[in-house]
Amino acid sequence: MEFESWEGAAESSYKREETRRDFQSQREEEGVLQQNVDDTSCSSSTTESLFPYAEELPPRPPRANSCNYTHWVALDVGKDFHDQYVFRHANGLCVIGLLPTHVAFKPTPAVTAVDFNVGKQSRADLKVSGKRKKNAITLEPNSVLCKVMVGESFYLIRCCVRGVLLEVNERLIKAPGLLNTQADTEGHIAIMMPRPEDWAKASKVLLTLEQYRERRGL
Amino acid sequence: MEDSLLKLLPSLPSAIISDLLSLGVCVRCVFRFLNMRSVDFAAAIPSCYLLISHLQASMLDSGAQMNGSAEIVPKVGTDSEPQCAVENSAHTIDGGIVEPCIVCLGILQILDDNMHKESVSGTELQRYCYGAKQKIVEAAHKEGHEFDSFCLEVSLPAICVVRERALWYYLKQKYPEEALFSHNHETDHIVTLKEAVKWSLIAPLELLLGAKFDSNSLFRIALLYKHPESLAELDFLGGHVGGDAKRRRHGSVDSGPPAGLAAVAAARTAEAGESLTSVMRALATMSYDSFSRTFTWPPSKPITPCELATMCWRMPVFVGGRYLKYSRNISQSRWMIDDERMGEGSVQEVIGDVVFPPYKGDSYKFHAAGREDIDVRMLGPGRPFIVEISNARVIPSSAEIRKLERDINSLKEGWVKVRELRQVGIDACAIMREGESEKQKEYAAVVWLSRPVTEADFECLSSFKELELQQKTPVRVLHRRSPLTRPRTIHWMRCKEIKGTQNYFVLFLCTQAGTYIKEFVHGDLGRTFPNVGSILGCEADILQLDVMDVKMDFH
Repeated sequence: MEFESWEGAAESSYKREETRRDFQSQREEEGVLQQNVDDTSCSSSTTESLFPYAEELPPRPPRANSCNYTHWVALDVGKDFHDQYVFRHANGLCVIGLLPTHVAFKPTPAVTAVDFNVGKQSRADLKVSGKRKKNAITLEPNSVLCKVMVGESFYLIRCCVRGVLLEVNERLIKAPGLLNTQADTEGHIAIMMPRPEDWAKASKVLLTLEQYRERRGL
Repeated sequence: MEDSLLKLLPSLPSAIISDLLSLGVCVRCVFRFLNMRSVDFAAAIPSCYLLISHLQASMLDSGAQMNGSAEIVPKVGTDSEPQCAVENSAHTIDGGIVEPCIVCLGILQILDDNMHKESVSGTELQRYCYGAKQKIVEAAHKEGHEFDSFCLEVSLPAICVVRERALWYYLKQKYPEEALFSHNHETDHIVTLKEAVKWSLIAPLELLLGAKFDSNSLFRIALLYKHPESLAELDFLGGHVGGDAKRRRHGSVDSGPPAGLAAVAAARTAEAGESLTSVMRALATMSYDSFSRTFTWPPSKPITPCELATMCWRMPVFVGGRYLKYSRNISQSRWMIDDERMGEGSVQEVIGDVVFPPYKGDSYKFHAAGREDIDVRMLGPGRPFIVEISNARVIPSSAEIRKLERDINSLKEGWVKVRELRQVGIDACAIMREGESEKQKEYAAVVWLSRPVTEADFECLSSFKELELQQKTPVRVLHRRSPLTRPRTIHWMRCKEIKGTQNYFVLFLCTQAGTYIKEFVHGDLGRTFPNVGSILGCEADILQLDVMDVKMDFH
């Protein structure tokens, strides 16, 4: 399978910065951890030395959301100020969602409902199964993923990239408010799997975060 | 001649023996068809000439003593047929040219070393007569295998059982009164060829190899007897033998086995066994009539004897232990992307590079009870693993294996350590596979919260017992795993502060096998629920993770 080769890259993204590793190795060389080899069980006194001291800790760890994904932006998708993000995992999968500048969030984030009942079949009813993603459908960049309702008005959310739709975030049906509070994590819209060549095409059109900030004057 | 055999002679049906010998049946096959299970097949077997003369002598003796049996004596003496048999067999032996037996096709004949090697001028026969035992011994030593027991796997050409059937029908027809041949089929009423080969070989081989025969021995000596000449003879079975068996038979003709490849040898042995089984199955259901329509008896004389190919290999041996991994940049198995090595090495290679060479095997495989990510350390008592070595030539002693453990542990990099390294049985693999999917795992995670950690957070987390999560396949593996929501249990959690920090703490947790811990902490876009963030009502992230225990009895 073409995605198999990405497997490694996915896990390597967890790699920590050099400095931490160096510190680790230094302590291990000092034999702090060596005791464990001879002890049959891991005593609590040993575990104490296993964990970092306050001064070694970064102010915060890299966010799972930002260290595992590269962030891309699609502006004015279909209509003006329909701003969406595409977070691309190192394994090639893409998380699709709404940016804070999306018109649905103006003047204040007040999404009232999310409707996946677009197209021939509700996007939420697709049951993809198995390693080979049986029953999955392939969508075009301009295919509609869902309708986001703000009171009486609605906005169409599109794929931005051609690929296989793996899943939509069904939690949004019951908790559309997640879009208002955590649009970049729990409030994401869908997960897609583009083929590498489709991604190559899409990434030429998509903007980087810097370009996004520049364009929106953030 | 053996005393035991001499004593048996008077009780043997001499007419039948003479008849069989004259047909071109070898002495061991004669014994087989008389179902003589008390004869020592490994002992020096008399030539047919010798056998006949002893038979006549014993008969004359008994004839002189007993008036009633006098009738038989002239029969043997005057009947032209047995007389001819004597001449015939005498000729074959004296000339050194052993005509292949019409039943075993020479398989039992070439076992003897004392074939008149010097007197043979025809080089081809010399090749066949050169003792099969020496050939086997040479093959067993050729690749430097060290062993103190061995197991014989004999695979025979299927034509032999067909010829046995033909000879059986001949005997039934010719001697309808003879109780020995009263059964419909020869099955279970003669000494099988395989039995005869083993009985003839085991004792001498034990002596020559200095090793014990043991049917459970991991060291296998496969004797592959082939008789390409007779493949056409089997075609009469036609519809009775499945098409695939036929194909296999033909396939096996053109491809010679590459020597020294244990897997190939094993496959070839199995293949030969299968084709034999299918022929036997066909024969079992075949009636006398349909057999007689297609095969004549007594069987014709073959031109060439069977060829013997000997292959030796050792079944996989297993070295098990537990490993510890102190590096966050070493993966468990060798991990290459586009020929580029990821990480600084692998647990598999660190262990395999030390453990594998002393066994002088063909290849090895590394199995472990689950695995950790490259950036996760494996601490505590370690993770059970097994190195499977195929076709080991040498089996190190337990003292040597302990030295291998010390060798790994004294490597200067020191990222990987092993414990309890020892040879294990094949059952350890099953235990480990079970451990991979069913056993509890303990972890220690350094967790960060988006707000200062409180005592209440610790109480909250540690109050959960048997907390069930709904874990959707994490995004990071979703490309290769099935999209599913899996219920996973967190058995318990304990927290520990990190002094001098506000937002960090250490979370110890014990979970069901198959739980993704990193996702439980950061929530994976809310796809693992509940998660640490959702429980504590804030954002949570994970800085580092260590496996503290893989709970498994593995000794």
